[in-house]
Amino acid sequence: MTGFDSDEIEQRLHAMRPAEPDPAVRRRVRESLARSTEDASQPSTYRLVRRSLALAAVLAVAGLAALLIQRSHKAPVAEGPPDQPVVEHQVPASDPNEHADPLFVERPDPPPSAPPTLLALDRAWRDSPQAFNDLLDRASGLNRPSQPTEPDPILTVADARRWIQNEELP
Amino acid sequence: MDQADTDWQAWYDRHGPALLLFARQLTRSLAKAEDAMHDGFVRFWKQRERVDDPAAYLYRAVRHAALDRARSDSRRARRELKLARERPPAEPPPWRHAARDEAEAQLRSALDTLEPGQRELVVMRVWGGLTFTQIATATDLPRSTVAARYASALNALQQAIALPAEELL
Repeated sequence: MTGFDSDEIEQRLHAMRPAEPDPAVRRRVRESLARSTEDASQPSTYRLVRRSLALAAVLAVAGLAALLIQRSHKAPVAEGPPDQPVVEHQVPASDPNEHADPLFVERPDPPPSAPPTLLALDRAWRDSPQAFNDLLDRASGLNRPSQPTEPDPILTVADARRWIQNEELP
Repeated sequence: MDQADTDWQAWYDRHGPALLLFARQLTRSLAKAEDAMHDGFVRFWKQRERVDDPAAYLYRAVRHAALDRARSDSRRARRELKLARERPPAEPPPWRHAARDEAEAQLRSALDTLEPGQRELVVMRVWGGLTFTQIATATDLPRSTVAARYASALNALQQAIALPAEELL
């Protein structure tokens, strides 16, 4: 068991020199410092010219970009082709039977019955009032009742006497 | 060899071993500590004429470089830390390389028992030769906190050395 006071510990610590860094670290430091010294030793005029060239390049790029943007905005009005009529896209008429179900054949509706013309009505009126009425009934779809029949004769007492005497019926 | 080259080599010779040990406290491998030392030293040399205390700034620059690397590799660091807790490290700390006597061997082992923050202060104070004010500048800590932590570190070393050597290993 060993005991030291603080001063003695410090003295012993001082005596313990840490290990030297690898020589490669010193070489790296030397190279890095040489590069930084080389950069710092550039003549001021050289640095000024270099910065000016860099600034000019940046301004040129910015100006070119602005010009391109301006031209792109003006292109349809100033230099573009004349306005063309708007042509709508024509959709080709499709074949009605293209996608038809082969089991289902659509048949066209029958044409409605044509109404009689005024000329036909006039002719029918002149020819026969009955034909005119029949023509109107067909056009309207109504079945007009047929002509009323003669009412049955009413047998009177005299008719009965005559029937009994003559055995005639009306 | 010009004057500037001589100057940076003088700084490197004076602080190189301590800087490497310092960076090693904050990184998970010696290679990362060397990278952090390189980055911090180059940054220090470029800025040395603009700072009030070059020595404090040198350690501060290396510290920040080491912390940046530790943060960028935090996931891997956590995995390595877990593995390190499960088994003893294959690579011994730099202060274990050559123990001249039993007492020094005990002291080197006792350094391993310190908290990372305490070990950081010991490295800067003992091997970096920084004052408490410079350490406070380098670590962004109040000077009183630095002094208290350093005293606590020495006390911990004192107690660790008082233990039987076999309990430290």
